[in-house]
Amino acid sequence: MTQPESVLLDVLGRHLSAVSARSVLTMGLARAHVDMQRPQPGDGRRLLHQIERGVRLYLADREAQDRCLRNVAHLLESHVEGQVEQQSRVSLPVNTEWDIVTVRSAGRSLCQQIGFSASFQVKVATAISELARNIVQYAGTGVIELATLATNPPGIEIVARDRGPGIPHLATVLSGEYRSRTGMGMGLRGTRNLVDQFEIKTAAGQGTEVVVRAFLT
Amino acid sequence: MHSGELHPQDVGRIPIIRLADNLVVSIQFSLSDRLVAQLKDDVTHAIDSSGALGLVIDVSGVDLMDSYISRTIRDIALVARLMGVLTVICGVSPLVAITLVEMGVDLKVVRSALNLDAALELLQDLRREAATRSTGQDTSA
Repeated sequence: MTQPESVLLDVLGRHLSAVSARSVLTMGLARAHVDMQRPQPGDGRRLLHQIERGVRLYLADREAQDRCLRNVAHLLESHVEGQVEQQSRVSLPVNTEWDIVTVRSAGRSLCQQIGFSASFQVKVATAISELARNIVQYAGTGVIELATLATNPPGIEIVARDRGPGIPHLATVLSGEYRSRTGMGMGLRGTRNLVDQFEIKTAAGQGTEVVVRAFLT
Repeated sequence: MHSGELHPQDVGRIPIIRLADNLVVSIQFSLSDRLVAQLKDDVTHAIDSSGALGLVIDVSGVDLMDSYISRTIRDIALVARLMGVLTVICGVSPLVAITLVEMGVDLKVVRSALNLDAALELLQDLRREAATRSTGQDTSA
């Protein structure tokens, strides 16, 4: 159980029996599809709604219900939404070429939400597009993870991970001497040119992981 | 920017419009790989069947051009040139232009213009130029 979860349970436990409190929380998390390890924007609101259903069910007195919910709301605001502010990480599947468009749009929206500049949005979306295309073309299937970095200046981290064949002759690909029919060399080098940090791990038959970070300048 | 982007799955193919002696392709949505590849085929066939003299690719609605998209547009221009048709790309947004330069994408083989008007004008100029030249060959490469 994560720390915010136990704090929530604690607050619910002050108004409900231990068993009811646990049940309200567990059901709430499941119904709201909230993972406290990886809080997402909007989680707090959805979780509160689900917890409200539980509390109204288990607590008879209307005033007691409201008191309990006020406490829960306050807690969610500081704990869950506060954490989102610091780090929200989303993991998106990349299986088809449509996913390339979906994933890069998600990256753009994420940057938009945080208030990153339009030029930064395009830069990030383009890098995501390159990495996602590499997954689709060479590994077939994989994931792209997007996370905001609460650094100074703030930034965004993109992780592209697949269990594909790996990239043979990585050094040649990155040096620009290699030209694939599909243009992978250009994609990886272009991505490296776009971002501030670029790390790549690849092993034959085991897959590839590319981690890039871009910071708002 | 184009936040209400049309999902490429909703778009069958990119229309190619005949305008006087030219073909005009105006891309007004986010590009998927398949759509770009389809465009390459369609343009090649359109050049062949229409006998057009120039091709304009208007990307003013494109919010993002990565290496694959720009490479395909370059390929289209190269194929068109081999078929005797000059290509001008226009409407590259400032943000897309900056990103392409930062990436190091080379689109030098494609002529470019600010907007559709300027592109059609440029094509006319280029054709006049070519007509006055006795060889009639494009030596800019």
